[in-house]
Amino acid sequence: MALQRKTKLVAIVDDDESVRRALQGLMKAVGHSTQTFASAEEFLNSGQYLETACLIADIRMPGMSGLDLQARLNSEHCRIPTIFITAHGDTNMRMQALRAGAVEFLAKPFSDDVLLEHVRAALDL
Amino acid sequence: MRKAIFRLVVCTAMVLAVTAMAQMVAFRDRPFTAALFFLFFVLIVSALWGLRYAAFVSFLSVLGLSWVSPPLGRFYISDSRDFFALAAFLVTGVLTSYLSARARREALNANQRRAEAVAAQARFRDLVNSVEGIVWEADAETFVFTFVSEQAQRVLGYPTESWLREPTFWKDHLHPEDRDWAVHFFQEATTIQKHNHDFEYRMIAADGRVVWMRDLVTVVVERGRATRLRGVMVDTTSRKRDEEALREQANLLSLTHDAIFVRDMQGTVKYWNRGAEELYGWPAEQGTGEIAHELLKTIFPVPLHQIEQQLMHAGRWEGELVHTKKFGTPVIVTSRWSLQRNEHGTPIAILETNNDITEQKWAEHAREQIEEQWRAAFESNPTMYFIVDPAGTIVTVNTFGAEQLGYSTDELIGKPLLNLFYEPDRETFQRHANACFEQPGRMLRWEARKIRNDGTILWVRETANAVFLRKQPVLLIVCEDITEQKRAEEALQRSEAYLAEAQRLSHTGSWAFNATSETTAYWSEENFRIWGFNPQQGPPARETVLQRVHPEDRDRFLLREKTDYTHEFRIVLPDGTVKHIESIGHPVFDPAGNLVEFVGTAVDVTERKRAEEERERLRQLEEDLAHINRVSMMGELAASLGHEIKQPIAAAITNANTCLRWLKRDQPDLKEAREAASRMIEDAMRSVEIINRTSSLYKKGAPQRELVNINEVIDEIVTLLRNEAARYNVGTRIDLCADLPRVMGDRVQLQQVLMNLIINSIDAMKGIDGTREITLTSQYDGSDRLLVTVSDTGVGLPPEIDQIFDAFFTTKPHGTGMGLAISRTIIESHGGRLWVVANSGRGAIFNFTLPTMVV
Repeated sequence: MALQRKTKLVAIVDDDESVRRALQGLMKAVGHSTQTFASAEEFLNSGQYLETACLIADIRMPGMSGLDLQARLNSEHCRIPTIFITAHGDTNMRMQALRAGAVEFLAKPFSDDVLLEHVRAALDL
Repeated sequence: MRKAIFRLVVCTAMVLAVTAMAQMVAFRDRPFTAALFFLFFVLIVSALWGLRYAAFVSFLSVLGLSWVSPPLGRFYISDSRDFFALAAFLVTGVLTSYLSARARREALNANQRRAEAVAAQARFRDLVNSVEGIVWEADAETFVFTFVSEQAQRVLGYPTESWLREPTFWKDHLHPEDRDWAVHFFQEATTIQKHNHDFEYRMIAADGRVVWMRDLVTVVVERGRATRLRGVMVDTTSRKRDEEALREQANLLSLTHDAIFVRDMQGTVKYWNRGAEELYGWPAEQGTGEIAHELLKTIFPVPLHQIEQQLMHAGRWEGELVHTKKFGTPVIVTSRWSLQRNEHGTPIAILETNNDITEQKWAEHAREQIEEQWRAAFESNPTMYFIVDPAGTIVTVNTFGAEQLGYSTDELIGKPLLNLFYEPDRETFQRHANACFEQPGRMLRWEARKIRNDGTILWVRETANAVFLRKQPVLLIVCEDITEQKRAEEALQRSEAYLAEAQRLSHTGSWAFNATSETTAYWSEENFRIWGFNPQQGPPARETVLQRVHPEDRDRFLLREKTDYTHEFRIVLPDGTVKHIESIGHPVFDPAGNLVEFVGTAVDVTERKRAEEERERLRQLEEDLAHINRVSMMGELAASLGHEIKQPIAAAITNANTCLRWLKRDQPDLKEAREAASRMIEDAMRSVEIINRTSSLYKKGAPQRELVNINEVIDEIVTLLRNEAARYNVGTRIDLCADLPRVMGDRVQLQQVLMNLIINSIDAMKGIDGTREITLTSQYDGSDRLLVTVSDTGVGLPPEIDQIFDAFFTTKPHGTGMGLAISRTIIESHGGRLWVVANSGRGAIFNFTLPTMVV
């Protein structure tokens, strides 16, 4: 089962490198393959989003924000299950993200179990 | 004239009368008779009136004769015989009249000669008789008078007849005492020596008087024999009497010690008194009869004739003569000559009174010598001397004195001394001069200014006292030129004044302390002022000074080292004022190395201290403000900072979980677990770093200067504000110069400036649609300063651009208005400059420079 899921790519978009590396390490520990991007623009330009099974993104980033990225993907009918992780636990922002189709909206620091559960759920779709 | 006309008229009338008569008597036939009538008439005229009238009458007679000749009654000349007869008549008439005129003239001449002879005789007689003496003539053998002038009777009273009649008249009437010698002398002189002589003897007059006679005798010698004697006897009785009177007068004078002699008008000494004997050495009998000034070899001060002239004119003369004594010694005398006259006013003798003043002359000479020495001292001493009378007129001034003032002595003598003084000093001089005259002998001294001829000023010190000179009070003034001294004094006073002024301005007092006697030697005026002591009372005692020192600082004040030292201490004035004093001391040693005194300064640094404190307070205030600014900024940034700190913490937690998962596996993957743990440590470290950075901004403390790389500061602040920028979708671009020199500064303050500028930029872009971007650059062109710019694309600058750096100026609803003001203060305190310009597209560019540290 683990091998089957290997092809399923988890994309991580965060401007903070430490966060990116921590998430990548966690994914590696549970056997998910990951790709990290420092900004939304980098992710969009990479073309990898077509193969992305799950997107973990920060909301506040220089340039395009996480919500902007989600809106953009929605507009291109590319519905990637997206998990937002943010340091600013803003209720409005959370509601906006969930309405736009976000899988989960986590506040830093987050529980790894909750995150992994949502990632696994997204990959199982 | 009238007489001539009268005569002519008479002549004409007479000729007419003769003619008429000849006609009437009818001399027609007797023309010769008529001619005789006319000739007779011509003769009468000639005898009476001379030739000219005779000729005139002759001519008229010719006419008359022709009238009476036939034909009668008219002038008719019939033939040449008539001519001849008339001419013969005329010649005869004229000749007759000439002859008669000559005879008449001769008779006249003879008469005149006789009259002249009589007159000459009378004149001679008068002359002889008018001679003031008896003119006589006598036979040389018999001595019988053949002639005596009338004076003989007048002088002696005997009639001249008796002189001529009595053969021994002269001898008989001689004074009995003189008879023998006079007769003898006379006989000898006349008969034997046969020369002219004169001698004096006495005769007895008819009334019994004794008459002195001076007899001047001329001997007439014919063929070797004296034939006749002629002479004049002059009465010299009155002269003799005058001489006698003079002698008596001189005898009276012989009682005096003056040398007196009488000489007659010829210079012969007639009298020689005892004083003269004593002075000149000749006894009276030797002196008398000598020519006075030949005997005495007199040296006259002026030619003798001048003296005599004066003597004749004034009757007396006085002067100094040099006589020579019998034995050749010269003697200086004051000589008084007085002319003696007899009762007729005739000068008869000169009375000469002489005083020996040789001694006096020597004394005078010695005095002159002393005076000359004094005068030399007076004239050539380089000191000005003035002698002034009570009216202030210059009596004497020495040449040096006059020259010093640019005058000659003649120009000053007789002028008022007061005029030489500089006007403002005249009153002072007058006062001193009056005081001198009021207290003769008291010496006064003063200083005053005089004016030279050329108008320049001369400072003098004068010493004066009033003395009596020839019983007149005068003021002696000795006057020294002290212009140079005054100038030096003035210069000294001026430099002292400058020094005092400098001390006053710099609040610096100076002092000297005698180390041997432990007493205050000198305090400058400013020192008195600083310490609050009265300069009139002199430098205060050490104990008194110590009382003024703040009790806590007294130990320090008393400490005196043997090297240069600086003390700071406080003093407390009686009114409670506290002053801070900075005292610098310098020990002075004598050549032997012993400490002699301390000299030094006392500077009142109270003001400086106060200013320093004020500055410190301001600095503190600024620091506080800066801190407040930072803290308030951090408050603003709290959310962003929280986010910033949460990031690494969140990462750390994730890594920790990851680590655990690797370890929880059936076969724990230690390698992965270690990697996760390492990341975890990094994250934790990063969060600590952020906290540290943040807390340094919160910290309040004195600025600390260190070498700072401004690029690092930019990086740190950008990191810190990354979240804040991201929160407002503001992009941050950084363009740093790689080779940036470091600056000396306070890292936190520089962060604060950048943070202020960046937050301002973010604020300016919050409401902006479109690009929101902050660009940070650092630039360096190799000069002594680097440039940092912070540009944004915000709203740009407000219209009040000039005020944006002022404190409390703000455009934000909740701004304090401190950010930019504090930033500018910080940059300027680093020696840099902070300014703003508008961005090319939109927004603003803040620039600041900082001086670089070339290491």
